[in-house]
Amino acid sequence: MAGSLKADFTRRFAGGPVVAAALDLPLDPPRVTVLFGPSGCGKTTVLRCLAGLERPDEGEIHFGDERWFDAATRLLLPPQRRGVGFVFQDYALFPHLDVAGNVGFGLGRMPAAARRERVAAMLDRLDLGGLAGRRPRELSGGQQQRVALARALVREPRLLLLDEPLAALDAALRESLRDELRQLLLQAGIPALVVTHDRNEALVLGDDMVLMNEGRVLQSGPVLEVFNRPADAEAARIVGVETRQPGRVVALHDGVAEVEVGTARIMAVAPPGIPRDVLVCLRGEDVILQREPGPASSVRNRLAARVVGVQPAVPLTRIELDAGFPLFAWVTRPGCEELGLAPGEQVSALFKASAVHLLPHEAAHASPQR
Amino acid sequence: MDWQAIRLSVELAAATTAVLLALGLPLAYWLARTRWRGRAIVEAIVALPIVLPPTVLGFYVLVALGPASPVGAAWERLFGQGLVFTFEGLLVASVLYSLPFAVQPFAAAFATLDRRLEEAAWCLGAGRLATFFKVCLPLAWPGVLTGIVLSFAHTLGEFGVVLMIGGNIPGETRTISIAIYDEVQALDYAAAGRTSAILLVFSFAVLLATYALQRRFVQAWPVR
Repeated sequence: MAGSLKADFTRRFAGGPVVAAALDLPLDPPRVTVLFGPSGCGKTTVLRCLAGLERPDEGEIHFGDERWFDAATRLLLPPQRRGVGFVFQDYALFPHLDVAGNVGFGLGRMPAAARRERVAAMLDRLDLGGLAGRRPRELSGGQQQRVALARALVREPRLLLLDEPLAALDAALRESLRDELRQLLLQAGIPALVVTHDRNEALVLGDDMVLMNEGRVLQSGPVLEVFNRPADAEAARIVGVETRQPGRVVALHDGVAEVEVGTARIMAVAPPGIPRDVLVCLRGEDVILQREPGPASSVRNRLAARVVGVQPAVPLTRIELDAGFPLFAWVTRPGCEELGLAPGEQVSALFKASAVHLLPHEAAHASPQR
Repeated sequence: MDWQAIRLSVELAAATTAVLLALGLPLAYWLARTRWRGRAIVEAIVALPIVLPPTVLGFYVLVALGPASPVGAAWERLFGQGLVFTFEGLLVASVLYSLPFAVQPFAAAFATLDRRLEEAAWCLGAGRLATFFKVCLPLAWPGVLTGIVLSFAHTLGEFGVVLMIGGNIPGETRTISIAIYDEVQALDYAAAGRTSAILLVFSFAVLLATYALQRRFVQAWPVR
């Protein structure tokens, strides 16, 4: 399919909230795009507007050379005519129909025999073969999810929209179904837009990512690009960059900047045109902690740091450090024990210059002229 | 025993229920789904027959359908006879009188439906009408059944409205409750007792069957 899904619209809600979306998703080759952001930031509204379930107040939506919505001409293509598959957060399976009835629901105009064949093939494909006669309430959460997916896929939609497809499952199941869902989406070969507020889900499921906060799109691009190179301080916070500290570039040579952060100096790969005042972004998983001064390595930054806090989490333990500035690191539990990490202990924190992401930063206070 | 009156009452109740099904389902669905602010006005009008004395309702319907009114006059031109003191006139009055007993349970059932089920149907290509018949109606069935039974039973027992609109014409407007009234007036307590017992047993049986059925339906698919 040629072209792209282009959307640029605004939806206003009574009482204040405004959701403004600007998206451009290429349709060929089909890719999985995650719409990522904190709860309540307007992701679901964007999805519903794309499906035609909600009417934006302004703007346009184009799918390839089709016009789906145009505020200027008051055009709104109804959901029935968009050829979109929608998977709802709690799946919205029809409780009065069995699995086969649910999956065949959207094939209403097909002759009964052909319909049965299509449904059976789809059930086999999603490993639901033995469940055709079951009612939705007799299915596990994971099975319900697959039925919802089968129901959408059987119509061969041109675009698949999934609203928090894993949120209705319990935590243990969610992790194991993440990879399975990724495989199913890849096999389907249909461009998909997946709403999630879970970073791990975004990383596993998506090729591309659209980052949203408070009703606006902050950034879009390949998932890892957005995660590792957030465009601004707000984006860095939302993608979960733990260390975000203002700093000042004091020297610049061969594309490497020497940056003063708090009382420390660090080396960072400098993007072209970086101003003097920067925000230093560093992910906790890019920081190595050592007890003794270890063997020399290619790592450019080695800071003496004092452990301030140890917070066990799943699957890693979060270590808060004072390295002349607040610094965060993730370590495994055995690593934590081996290093004897406890508040007050002294360690070395190591990270590569390339792991540091520098963002232009408006200094809150007037800095003295150089 | 006035079998003619019993038959007439059952016919009237069946016809009224059929009309209420056709009118009440769309009205109830609209009430359950609309975000229009004036909805309360419509709801209040629908509920009026519950609180109004049947004689008041009957009086207005009598005036509205009488030969002096535009509706009555038009009807007379079309069919050669007036609306009041006929079965058709009685039907119109019964529909109004039993409206809340159909519309309120229908609307309550539609209101509890998960809206996303309808949206899911739309995304699967089903139009509004197909969605109504394939998703909403099957899921709202217990409430719809309640509405059907209540309007049937309510019409079966109506008295005041019939007296105002229908009068007491055997085979045309003399319903079971009028017959009982006449029997009591004639001091024929034995006949009144028999007819009353029939109405009592029938009403109880219908309600019992409904609630028993409803319980089975509700267990078959819990509507979240």
